[in-house]
Amino acid sequence: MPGKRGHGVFLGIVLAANFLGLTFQVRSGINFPIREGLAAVFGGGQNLVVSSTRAVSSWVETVREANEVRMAQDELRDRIAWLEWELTVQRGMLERVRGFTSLDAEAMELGEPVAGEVVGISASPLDRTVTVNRGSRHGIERDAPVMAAGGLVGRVVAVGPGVSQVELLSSSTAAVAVVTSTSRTRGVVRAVNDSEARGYRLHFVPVGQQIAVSEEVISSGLDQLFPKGLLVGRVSEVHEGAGLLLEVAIEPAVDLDRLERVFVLPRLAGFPLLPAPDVLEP
Amino acid sequence: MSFMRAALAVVAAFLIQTAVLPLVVGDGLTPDFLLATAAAVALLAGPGPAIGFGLVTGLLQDSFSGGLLGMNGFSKPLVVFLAARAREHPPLDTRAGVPLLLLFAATADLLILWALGEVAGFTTISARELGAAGLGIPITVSYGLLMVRFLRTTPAGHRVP
Repeated sequence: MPGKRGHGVFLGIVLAANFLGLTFQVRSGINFPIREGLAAVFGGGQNLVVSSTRAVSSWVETVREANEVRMAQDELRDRIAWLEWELTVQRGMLERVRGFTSLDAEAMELGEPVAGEVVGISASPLDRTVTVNRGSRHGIERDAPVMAAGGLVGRVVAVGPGVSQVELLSSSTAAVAVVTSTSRTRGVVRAVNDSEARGYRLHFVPVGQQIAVSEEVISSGLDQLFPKGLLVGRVSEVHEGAGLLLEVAIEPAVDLDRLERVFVLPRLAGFPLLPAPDVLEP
Repeated sequence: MSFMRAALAVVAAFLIQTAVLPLVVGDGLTPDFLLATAAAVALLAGPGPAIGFGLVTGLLQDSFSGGLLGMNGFSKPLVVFLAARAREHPPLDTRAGVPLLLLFAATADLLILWALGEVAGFTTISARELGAAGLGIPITVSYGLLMVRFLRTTPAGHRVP
């Protein structure tokens, strides 16, 4: 075993050799051929490690990008929902302008909606309600109209601090006063929930009214609950009934079975609350 | 300490340094895994092996760094030898001395390389490279501690309960 002196000598030789080698390289500009030899020895291992590491990092990158794409998709979906909402509002305003040109601009405003997500549904086919994750804390009041991107979906029937219960138009107890967009035929839309048919039906339309299939059906505002001009559905079928009234089937504007995002409008000012005093527990 | 295991550790450190590190760490952070391994060997095996391992790791680093052959071959044996020699003296011969000596080795190596480049005039080291290497020192020390644990062999006859 070399002693401390031996180590010192060994170190001195090593340092001197390296220093001289450095000096030689700088002065002569010649590189030692040791590089090529070592590269040949270690190059294969390096390639193997690099390629496997790249494969792993590429997989991680792919997963990360997939997450980003999913987030971007969600954002775009929200954006589309908002744009469709805007379109619906604009269409409603146009409708009101067409029908009531004397209304002032303030009366035509629907107000700022509160966007919410459907977090629960009712399982009963007769009690068609959904729970929305927005409540009185967010400024929601009972009887406030509720819309989705395509059109009207119902009204708020109970409000808790953080959630609201919305009665859908497909409920057997729900009704909305409507007018058709072209023929200007008034009526009341109610849900049809029997074993043979689903959707809405337009009631109280006398025989003789010229209603066209695919005509838009919009809220008339006469029920003093829903503002005028909100799309409810489209006429899908018209035929004469047994009595003096037409039977008019309406295709809903919104697929109420697939509701995800809704917009709760401010309750119409000055309109009396309907008797539905339930308040949701938080 | 098993020298076979130490050699394996050097190869592993080399592959991590040259193949894995560029893929997972950006340019702003360059720890020195080869130095950490050589320093761990030095602290466990003493000054003699320290010079040998320092020289091998240094030349290996030089060969694949694209710089002059001998820069790391000069600095690595020197700093690990000094660390190994300091390890023989109290209070650095205690458990707490290991991270301190690893820190010393990483810092001294950087200073020597800078001195060789800028003072002796062998090459030019940019401030960005120097900063990245400085920021990498904590990782170098941590890796050195891992290597010390890895290379430390169980004494003969000792049974792990």
